[in-house]
Amino acid sequence: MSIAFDNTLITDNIFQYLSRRDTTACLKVSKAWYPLAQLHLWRSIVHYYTHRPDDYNSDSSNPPPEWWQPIRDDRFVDAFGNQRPSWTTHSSSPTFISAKQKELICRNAFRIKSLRIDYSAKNLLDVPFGNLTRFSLSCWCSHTKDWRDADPGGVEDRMLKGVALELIARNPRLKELELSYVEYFYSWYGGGTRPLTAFVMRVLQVLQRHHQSSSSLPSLSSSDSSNSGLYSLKPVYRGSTSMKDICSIVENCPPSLQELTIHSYIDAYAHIYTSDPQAIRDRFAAIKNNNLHIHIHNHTLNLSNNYSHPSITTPTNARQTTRTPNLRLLNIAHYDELISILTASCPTLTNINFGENFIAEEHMFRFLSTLPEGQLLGITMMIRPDFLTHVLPTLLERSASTLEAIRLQELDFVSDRIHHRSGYILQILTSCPQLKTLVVVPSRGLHSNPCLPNLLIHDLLQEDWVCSELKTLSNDVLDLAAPSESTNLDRGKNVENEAETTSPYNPELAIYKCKIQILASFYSRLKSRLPLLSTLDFQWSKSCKNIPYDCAVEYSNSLLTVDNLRWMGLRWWTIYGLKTTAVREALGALSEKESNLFEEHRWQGMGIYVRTDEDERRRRQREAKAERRTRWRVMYCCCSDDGDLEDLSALCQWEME
Amino acid sequence: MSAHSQILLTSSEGTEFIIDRDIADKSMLLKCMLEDIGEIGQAVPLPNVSGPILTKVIEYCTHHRDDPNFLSANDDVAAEIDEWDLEYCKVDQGTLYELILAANYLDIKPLMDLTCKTVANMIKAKSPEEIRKTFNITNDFTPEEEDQVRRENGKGSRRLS
Repeated sequence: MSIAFDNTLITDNIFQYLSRRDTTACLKVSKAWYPLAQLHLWRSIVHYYTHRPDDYNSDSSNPPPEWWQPIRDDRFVDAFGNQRPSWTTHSSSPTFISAKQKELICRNAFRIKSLRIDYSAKNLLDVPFGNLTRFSLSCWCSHTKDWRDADPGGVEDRMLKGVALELIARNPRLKELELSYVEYFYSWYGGGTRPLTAFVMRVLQVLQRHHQSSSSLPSLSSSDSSNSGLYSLKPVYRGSTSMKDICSIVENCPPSLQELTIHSYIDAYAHIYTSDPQAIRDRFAAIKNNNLHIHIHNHTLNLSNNYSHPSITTPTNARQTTRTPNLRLLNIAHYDELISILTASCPTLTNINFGENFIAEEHMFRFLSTLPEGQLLGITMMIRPDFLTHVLPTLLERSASTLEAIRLQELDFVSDRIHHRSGYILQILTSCPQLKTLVVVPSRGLHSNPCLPNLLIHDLLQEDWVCSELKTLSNDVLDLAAPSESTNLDRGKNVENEAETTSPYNPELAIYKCKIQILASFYSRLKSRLPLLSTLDFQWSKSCKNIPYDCAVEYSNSLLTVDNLRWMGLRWWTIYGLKTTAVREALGALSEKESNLFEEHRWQGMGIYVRTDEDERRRRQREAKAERRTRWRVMYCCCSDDGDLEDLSALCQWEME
Repeated sequence: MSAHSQILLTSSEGTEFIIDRDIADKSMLLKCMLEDIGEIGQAVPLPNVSGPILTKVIEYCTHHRDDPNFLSANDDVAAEIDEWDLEYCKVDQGTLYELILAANYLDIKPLMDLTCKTVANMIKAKSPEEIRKTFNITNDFTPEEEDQVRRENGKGSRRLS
């Protein structure tokens, strides 16, 4: 072995390019390589515990994914955008870190760079970690086994926060910090005094101290300061907050911070009581002049719209020398006036996310027409039918050439507007050449009545799309034109005639066959138009389901051809109503290498996901229980590298031998 | 001090190399040294770098002479290596290690990243046996030890049930 491998600077550099799988292979190479690889296996610990989704109503633990987020769980996307696996376990699995596991972790504490845990692993907090660069703690504990321990604001809770603070204080090299906790559990029901953002302020004090001590040290060059210190802070807390609190947080951030994301419930009435809106506006203006980039989004958590959930991401760019406000990401909170403040001071805005705030048509129109032409790259907003006359045309007219991502949630779309619906989606598809992501979430009314025809394939396929780079297409419910209509009817008749000559006439079957033909041709046309498509997510409306078994097998077979699988890059693909036998056959036709790749992708949560009849039945059951569509991950995992899992008990066993 | 002044380097076996100042500046070691003590006109001895390796290093620095992104060139971990660099790294393993050491010693971060990435690519997606073959390593684990390592990291243990 070369002496190059004795130098940790060099081995660190080499191992940073290796996945955990490769590192594990290195472990087995030789005695000399073993400790080397071992060092790099122990980089992070992840331990989450949540209950199964069936057991609980969602909303109260981790926030459900926002509607504009992709289906997959972002918590498992690593720094390079690769999907990390998440393992599901039964709720009977051991919940907490055992003494043996803890001992092992203690011994490797200095090696661990990343610690992401929730309440269930709270006993790890006193492990002497000192080299952490990434720390994520979720104190939300209402779903852990012994939730009674964790009375928010109670003794246990305060202790936990105290220990977490100490841990943060011990780790001056922290770059990413994420804290989910309950500030004052009960007060968000509108208790007398509005809670303060106490814990986050204490955290900020600690971080300020880190900064002071690091800046008092002589640094080798000025560029060092931009690389050290906290980069990203993400407090996610329950407890209401006001713009005033948000201002205080932003003002107290350490200067190295480039991203700040705050999730909390915004106090719906706070802005009414705000003594001096002008003062808030001034503070915001000051923040922007200070070169902070603000990203606010506001999410209403319950349907009554009383409580909202804002998040502010404030990336500040330390390397930037200009003082031009440089807002890149903007999500808008409850405050309509913020639009004017922010747009006036953010001439370089490229991405905007309005979250679950509905911005009235006039405001939206004003906003879009003040943005410079050909600048907007991404937009996420709620739309209503009245948007189709001014807002969307303005958006497309001014920004169609640059838009890369459009995410829309529909409000109040009713059945008589359906032709508009296909129409505007078609408009987007035919006018945005750069488009990579298109997500349309239909209004809830359509969900409750899935029989309503929704988005018609025929309309969509009428014109040529220009967005040949589209990678993600999510339309929720897609429908065929009802087979009794127009062209389909003719085709249906043809099929019927053929069927008549060969076999006993079965009009129903013929209609299904016709449907299936249309579906198959839809996929083939999608394929020819969107060669880069990697995420396709929609379900067929009821009129496409309940197809007789034989037909469905035929359909599945025509769909899941090896060719189609290859087109989709052997990746994520959600299709409803397929039959498992056909899936198995199609997978059986893959070459060995391909099925390995497929397995690997599935292992990483990227596999083709086919909803079979059984899934469908369960889904309907869940819907019957009026559960919201949530994508839960049940997690119990210990992990010794970013995201990849390690069975610590097995490891311990070996260590103890 | 003109930008085109020349610097004299001597490799470990005493061979002299004359390079332009802007090329020497690619090495943080030389850059800092030259900034600190100025150009004294004497040869700078590089006892840790042999002649052939130094030639190779100079070739790299010369190729990337006018590269504006030189220092951040290989920051992107997932990025592909560009064609010239790929060709440049087609050397035998001994040379590659010496290049890594030289890049480390001379503190040329992009070259260090490039060479380390090349080594990482040699390891990627290989079984332990293939890695041994690649790097000519003998397996010094006893069967029992090997069994332990396997048990520790085997597929079965990765998934909790």
